[in-house]
Amino acid sequence: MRRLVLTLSAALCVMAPAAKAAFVTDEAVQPVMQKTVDDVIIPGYDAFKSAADASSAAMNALCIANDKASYEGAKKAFANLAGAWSRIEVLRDGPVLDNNMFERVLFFPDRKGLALKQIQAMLAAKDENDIAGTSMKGKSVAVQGLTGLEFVLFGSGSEELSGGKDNFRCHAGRAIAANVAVLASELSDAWNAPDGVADRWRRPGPGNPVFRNGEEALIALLGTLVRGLETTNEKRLTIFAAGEGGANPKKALYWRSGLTMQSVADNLKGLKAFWDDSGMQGIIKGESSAITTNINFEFKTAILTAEKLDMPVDKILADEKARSRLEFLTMTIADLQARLNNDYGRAMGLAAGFTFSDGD
Amino acid sequence: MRSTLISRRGFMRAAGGLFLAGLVPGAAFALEKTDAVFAAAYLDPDGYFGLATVAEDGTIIDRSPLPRRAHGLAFDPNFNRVVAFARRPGTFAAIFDRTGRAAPVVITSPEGRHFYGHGAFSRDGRLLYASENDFDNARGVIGLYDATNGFARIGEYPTYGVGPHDLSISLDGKLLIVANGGIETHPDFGRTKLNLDRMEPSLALIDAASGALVEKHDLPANLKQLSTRHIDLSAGNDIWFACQYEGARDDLPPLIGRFRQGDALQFIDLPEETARNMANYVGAIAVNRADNLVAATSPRGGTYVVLDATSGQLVQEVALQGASGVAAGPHGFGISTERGMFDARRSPVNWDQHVVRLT
Repeated sequence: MRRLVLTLSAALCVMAPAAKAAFVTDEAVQPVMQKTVDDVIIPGYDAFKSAADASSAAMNALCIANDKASYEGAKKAFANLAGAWSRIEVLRDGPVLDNNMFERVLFFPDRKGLALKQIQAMLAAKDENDIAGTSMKGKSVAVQGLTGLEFVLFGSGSEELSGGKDNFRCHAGRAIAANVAVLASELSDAWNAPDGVADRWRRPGPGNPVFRNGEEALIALLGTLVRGLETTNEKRLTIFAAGEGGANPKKALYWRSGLTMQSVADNLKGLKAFWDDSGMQGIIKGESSAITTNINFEFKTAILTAEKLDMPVDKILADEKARSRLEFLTMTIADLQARLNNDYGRAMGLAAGFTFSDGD
Repeated sequence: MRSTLISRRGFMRAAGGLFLAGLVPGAAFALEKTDAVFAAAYLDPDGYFGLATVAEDGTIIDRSPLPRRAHGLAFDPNFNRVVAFARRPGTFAAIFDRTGRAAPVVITSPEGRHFYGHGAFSRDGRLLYASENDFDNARGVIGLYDATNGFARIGEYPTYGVGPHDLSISLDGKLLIVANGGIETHPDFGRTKLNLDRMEPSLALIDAASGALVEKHDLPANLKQLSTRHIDLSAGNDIWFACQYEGARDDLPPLIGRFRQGDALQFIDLPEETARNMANYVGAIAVNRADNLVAATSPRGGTYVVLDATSGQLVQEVALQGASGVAAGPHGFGISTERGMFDARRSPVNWDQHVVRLT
């Protein structure tokens, strides 16, 4: 016991002065969280909801007209929908984690190709009961979201949609689009509800069931950025550029619609919105300008590079210049992630960056 | 009870001249005068990960580089080997022969599995058990590795639960004890917790010889968001477990408990202020069997507590920023912090969340 007491006393003496170390104050974090909710998250889900409503309406129009113009309209609406989702999907926190909401909207990666098998089976069966009313919501998560809708619009056999005849494929697409609109509405409603999750995010504090103090809230915010960059790099780029078995364009998200790189650019823009519009750069301590300047520069570089690569994935992989640009993009994102995790995290007072506080 | 610790002299003898010759002078001196040697994973200021051995006073004795971040550790006193497991959802485990006679062995989890960051040797040192995720089926498994044959994977047992984390072995070596944290994760979603609205935490006792379930304790319905994470055993075969709560941050659930085979789970009631200071998150737990004490750290709360292992009463609460790993020392505990403290000495590293005692 003597040794224990000695050990404890020594630890106390040394550590006590550091116990209230440099972490940014609750007062500084509170407005950041307020802006995160009101200027980033709620507008993000509202934009997703609007895009989902527009896509649902475009699918309705397509199923009435079954012509080329309405088909183009539905594809364009899908591209807008994928873009709006790509910007807000970077938030993997809050209501989107309840009831498999995230996977319902987007089931990806799909290692076993479940979506393709199930959507093809559904289209082959042509059973209207399968897609009637709200039955889509009870279907496998692999078919009821964006990858299911993408296959309907862009997959093999999609020429049927503009062939001038009423067809089951369109009905299935309409049901999926309506389902995504319901999901988007539920997410938007959850964040807009008075006294709901938004309020808890806006005001960290001792009685708050989500964030007990500013530090916890800021860690969650930084976590969104760090994890979002990691996911974009590993699950949206590396997965097709250098995944298991080598490069394979068909492992890319949205390869059928050619929206892969646009989605990556939107992921990065979504993350940049958290970084820019929350005001989190303004509360940094120490050598703030060097840290934020580097992060701002790399965000800009990454987005520009992704935009320059806006072409079908198979073309990127076949072109040496595009391929090295893709490599540069993954390196930039990795470096950006490290800067946020380490430099920003440490400047905020985290021991060794965000991932260290994300223990087990 | 046979001691699981080898003596310092035994370690020195086993380590031999080769190991000592490789140490910097201060480290060799620290090793000579220390009564205990610990190991812990770290991150250095240049962003590199490794495993260090540490003297009782916190002096780093030696370092071994690791490919990525490690988490939990396991020590085999029979053959003087220590294993560092990749942090979830990592796929490597590095085994170091502390005698320096054999090169480190790095194993990778098989396809469809990743490590969960913890494991244990069989009491005779012939097998290594690792907690793993069969992620496509969202079920926990224990990987069995042959520690006499290059750590070849020779089989697996189910953990009878989801998201296993810490894994321990009974003092007689017959039971594997698993904390099924109840949280579903999938490497496609990184470290995201996929089922916080329907968790299934439990503690399972598994026959080490056959893999059969001996006993399973589901957490009660009102504590379904209390993830069981870490385990240590008392001299009297009490299984102490520590938890992390995924529910509302203004709840104050119990975080520490214990049970014996055949008995129900018993939770420890901490004073309200202490419970608040633990921030619903225990990072590591250790029992000092000689002192009959239990210590548990909370890096989130910047606190650690020491309990009487018999009564469960709080003996001491200490504010320690980033309180991280803990292991029983000759007396008391070796405690690390995320900011590089070990005992009263600060090293230019960030210690990971676990410490194991080697001698």
